[in-house]
Amino acid sequence: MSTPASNQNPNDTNQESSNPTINISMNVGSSLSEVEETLARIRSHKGVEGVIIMTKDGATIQSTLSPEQTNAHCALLSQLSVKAALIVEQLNPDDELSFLRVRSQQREVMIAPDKSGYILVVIQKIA
Amino acid sequence: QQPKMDAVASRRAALEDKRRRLEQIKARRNQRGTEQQKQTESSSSENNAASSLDEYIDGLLAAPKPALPTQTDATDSTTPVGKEDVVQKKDETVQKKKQQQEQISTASVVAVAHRPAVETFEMGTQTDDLLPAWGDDDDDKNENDEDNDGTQNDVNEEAEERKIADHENDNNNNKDEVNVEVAELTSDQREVYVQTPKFGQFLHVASKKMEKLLIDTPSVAEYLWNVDYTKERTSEEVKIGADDGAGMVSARAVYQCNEWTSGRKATCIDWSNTYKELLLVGYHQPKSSTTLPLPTPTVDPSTMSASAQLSNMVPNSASMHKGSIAAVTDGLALVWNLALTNRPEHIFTCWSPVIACKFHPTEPHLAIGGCHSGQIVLWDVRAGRLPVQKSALGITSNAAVRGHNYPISALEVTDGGSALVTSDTEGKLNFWSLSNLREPAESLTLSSSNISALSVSADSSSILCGDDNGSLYSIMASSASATSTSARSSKRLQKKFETSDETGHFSMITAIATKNSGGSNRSGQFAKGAAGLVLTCGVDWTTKVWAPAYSESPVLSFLSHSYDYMCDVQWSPTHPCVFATASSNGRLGLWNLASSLEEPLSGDGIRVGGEALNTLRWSGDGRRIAVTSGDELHVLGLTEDVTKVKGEEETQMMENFSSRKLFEP
Repeated sequence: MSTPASNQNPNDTNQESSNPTINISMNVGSSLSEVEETLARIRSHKGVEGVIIMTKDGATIQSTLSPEQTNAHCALLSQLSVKAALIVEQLNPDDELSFLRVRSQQREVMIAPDKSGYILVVIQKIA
Repeated sequence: QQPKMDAVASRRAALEDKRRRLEQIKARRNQRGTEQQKQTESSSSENNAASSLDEYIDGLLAAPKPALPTQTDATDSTTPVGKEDVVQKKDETVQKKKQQQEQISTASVVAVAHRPAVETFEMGTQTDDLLPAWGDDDDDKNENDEDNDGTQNDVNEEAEERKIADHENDNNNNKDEVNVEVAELTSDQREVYVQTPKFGQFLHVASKKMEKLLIDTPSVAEYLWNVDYTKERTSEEVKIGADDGAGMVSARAVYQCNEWTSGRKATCIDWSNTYKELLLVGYHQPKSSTTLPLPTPTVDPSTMSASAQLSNMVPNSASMHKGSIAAVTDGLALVWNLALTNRPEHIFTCWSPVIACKFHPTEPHLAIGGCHSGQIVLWDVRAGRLPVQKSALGITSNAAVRGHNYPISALEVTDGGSALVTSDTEGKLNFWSLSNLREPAESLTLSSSNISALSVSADSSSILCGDDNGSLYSIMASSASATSTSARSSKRLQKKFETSDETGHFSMITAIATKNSGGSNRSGQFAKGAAGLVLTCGVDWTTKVWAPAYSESPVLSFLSHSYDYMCDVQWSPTHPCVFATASSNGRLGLWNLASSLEEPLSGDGIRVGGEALNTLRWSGDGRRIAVTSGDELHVLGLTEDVTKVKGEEETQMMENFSSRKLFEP
């Protein structure tokens, strides 16, 4: 079974010009507008109060909350996330944190960390 | 070397200073309720204060380890954890970097971590060896992105600032609040992060995860775990009408994404064999496009040079973002996840509307599509939206090109998953090997008109085709080549079913369905019994049952009461007597030949959508049906009434047939 070519082959355009096996790199970054689109999508779900993207250290990349609220959440949640990740890894070195949900009486905070160091946080009101 | 020696000396001086301050902090901490562990920590650090840099490092590496199992107190837990952070990161740096740099970097980390005051920055050298706040990633970043160094170090400093503030505030303020200074990023810095590939990857994966959890319909467990039984509950009974499949349909969901699917008609469905929750759906071009020309080579962007294509970077297949290439592409195939109804799992595009599509039979991350231009394309989930391989376009200046010159009408997997067979509107059939999609392995002209339907028997030794005129053909592998895997003779036995005008279809056959198992045996004949039954349906409002082992005419014909075109029909993969029909009035019909040879289970049909049901596919386990109506994908879960085999239904069905003298099984 042939595997897709992972490199660009500009030299492929010879007689077989009708059929180059071009594979455009998959790992392109995003743009701020794409990030906004994604945040808007998530925000359109029922009950979602806010969405934040931050780094592991608590620096905000993008947020739908007001700056004061964002700041309040960022520091606290990034620490919580880092701590939770540490706990999981210490208890079992093979394991890693995949998701974190903090449910209170009024809302639920869902935290999706990523190995790359970014964190997506969604705050949802409990119906 | 000289500046480095100075740096080391100045470091030592700074270190001494800081150790003194650290001892002050420790003293304060000890006042608040001493535990053994803190004393060991402070004593170990005191020890280290006296020795050289190397011993200090060793000491620090050794000290917190005994503290680990005894950590039960949560009050000052941030500091020991912080120490572990430091230790772990030091482990990394010690292993990775060169000896000299090791010492400097670890010293700087230690110095920074114990520095109580935020205001003074006494960092001698700002090198790339500054402990990165993000761990492994920054090794790559520092090597590749030179221009990011400035921002990198800023972030590092700020991050370390915050860690310090952490320690500081913990020591000074009350323990219930977490007061922290967080770094502020400028929008330039944000852009930088956002444009890295890792960010794109994270955004797609994390946002999909979130959306699945946010989706309205929670699972049963979600509903029930937090119920307060003392409160009154108002019960809402939802009555499912017979029209909606009461007793037969247990659940239904609609999959649609306005951004991508609106204005298009879905043309084909395939369930994934490896991931039971994934479906591949191919779509035609949106209504707003101009009418389709016959395939012409000049319009094909694949002939652009590689650099031109590079400049039109297409986003990841997981991204919802349209990107710069063809915001409205002609060909679209979406992979849907049953868990997420408004956002596809993957998005595949190509240059011509997709008429037929299938997941690759053996590689779970590949998908195959057949286009209006006659091309076969191959997509890879890992490789983004555009196809990674495609067959040659039909019309070129060269001599007769193999492959299809006309729109592909059907695509099926044959040979147990190692070959493909495709048909087109010209009447040509092509056999392809999956390792080479550029040209077919074998080619065969069947009829002079559109081959509108294609079905492969389970053991791949016979292929049934239907054409625009209502004729049914069967193609058998000749007995010799049935056993050999490599040499395929193109001399296949073709046979046209001779039916009298009253019994056969009198216009286009839209679908043929053979059974999952059996179908025909190796000697090239159709199987007898229930396994050899074939269903066809057509534009002449009828669905017909054939038993090719016994007769060349259909044995049974069902006329649609509403005189609607029948668009698709398929046997259930698990139940030998049940099949489903898709009609152009938007209704789904369910039949069980063991219970009745005349009437369907579903009466007038189960209402599915407002538009004609183009295509229908049972899931592999026979418990769900996926059916498309316009641009919507409906997945219906069926009740056990329909799906479970009750007793000897197969024999019952055969008895039904023989009692009506239709054929003798």
